[in-house]
Amino acid sequence: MSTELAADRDTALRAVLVETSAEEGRRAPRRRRRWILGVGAFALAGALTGAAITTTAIASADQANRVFRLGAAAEQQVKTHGILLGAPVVADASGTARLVLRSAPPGATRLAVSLECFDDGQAVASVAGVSETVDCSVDTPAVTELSAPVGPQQTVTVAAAAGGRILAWASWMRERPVPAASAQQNADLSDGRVTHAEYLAAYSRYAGCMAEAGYPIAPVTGAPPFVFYAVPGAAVDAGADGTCYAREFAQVDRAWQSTLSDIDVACLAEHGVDGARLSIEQQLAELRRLGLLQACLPSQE
Amino acid sequence: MSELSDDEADWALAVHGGGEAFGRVFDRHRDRVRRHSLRLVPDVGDAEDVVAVTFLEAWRKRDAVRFVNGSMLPWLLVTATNAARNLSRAHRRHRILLDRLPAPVPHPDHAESFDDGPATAALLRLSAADQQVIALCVLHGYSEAEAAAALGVAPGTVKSRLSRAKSRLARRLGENAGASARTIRGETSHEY
Repeated sequence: MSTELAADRDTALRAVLVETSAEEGRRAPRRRRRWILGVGAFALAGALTGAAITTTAIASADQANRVFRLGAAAEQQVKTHGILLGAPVVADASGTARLVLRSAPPGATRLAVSLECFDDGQAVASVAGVSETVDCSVDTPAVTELSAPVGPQQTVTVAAAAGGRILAWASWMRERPVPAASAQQNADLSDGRVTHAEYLAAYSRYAGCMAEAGYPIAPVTGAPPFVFYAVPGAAVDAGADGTCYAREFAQVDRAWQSTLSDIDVACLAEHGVDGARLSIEQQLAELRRLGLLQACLPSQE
Repeated sequence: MSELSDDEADWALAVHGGGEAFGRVFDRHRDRVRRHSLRLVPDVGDAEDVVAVTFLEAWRKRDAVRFVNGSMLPWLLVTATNAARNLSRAHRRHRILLDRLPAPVPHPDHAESFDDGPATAALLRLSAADQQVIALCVLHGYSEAEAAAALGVAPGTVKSRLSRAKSRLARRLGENAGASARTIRGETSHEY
């Protein structure tokens, strides 16, 4: 490959990577976590076994493995904030799959859909007028959740944009009730602003709650003005993480990120950069690129 | 709390939407990943695909990336080694994004490639686990502890795995080209 062609390919690849990451910033804000530790093998409920699956007869070992994987992926996602209910249904179709779920179990609040597309591309999952678009590929299940009226029967339609074979799995689920914020967290929010000290203190209370529950958070590294931390997968599975986060840290965490974004925008504006339309991570990246990270961000407020 | 390294900070930013941060990680490590890939696949065009797949896999597994002394490079080298072993599958997984890149073309001059002859041929016949430890500890000069951190295994595991891998590599070299086999060229300058 000539040097020029190699440079073109590098430039194009770099642009793809930058765009891929930036796309993440345009989605709903994620919790500022570096990774979840210890997510490994997990037990599957009986509802995920072939015997309980309806609609599609399992025709081969490969298909059975894929169905198992779809269910496992859904279980892994949902367990952070809820639980799967009842028997899932599966459809193996070309282009568009239809899954009919009968008799919502007591407590069901929405649907979890897991899918695999044999031609990479986007897929649209729809139920009762609600749609979600997901990136869909072979071997790596995509999972989404849909709000749907709980009734005697719901039909989920999953259409693959590329039109090829699609394997889809759906189940009713119930969301776990979100614990109320602690009195201290409410006090932190009472004056309408969150300081860095309050953010760090709320993180410490969250970490303490996790330790009390038997899941100490480690390792912890800090890059002011944020705390980056890892959470044991078992804590997510057990619901301890969701409980502690909601009780001690969630609202303060979001408020601090919002406050920080305002500071970023003001600081970038002073240096001639319009950061209003950037995600907070993009704002931080821009500050870092300009060498302004330490100068602009409060560390001891 | 300690300061994050450039790789750790950029990755944390990239994972949350700081696109340019991913670009900086790419700028920092693409050349080392490319040189490593050229050892693992015979075709320069395939090596370019390994480079692309390596960074796309890093994004796909973004919550599982490991840092060794603050550097993402060892993890990227392991990922490249794995991608090279099953390039067609990796290519299929990322086909949509790879199709957006200019097509790599065969290199008319092999002077830039890292053809280590029989040694490379012997390396490519090893198992994935053997290739990983040889790549990290022999080709790139990482310590057993560093390789263990990159692979997510105990240092003792790397030590025993490396010993066996070296023995198997020596046997393969003997099978391949007898005494004419050259030593695999290594790189010991770490870029943290």
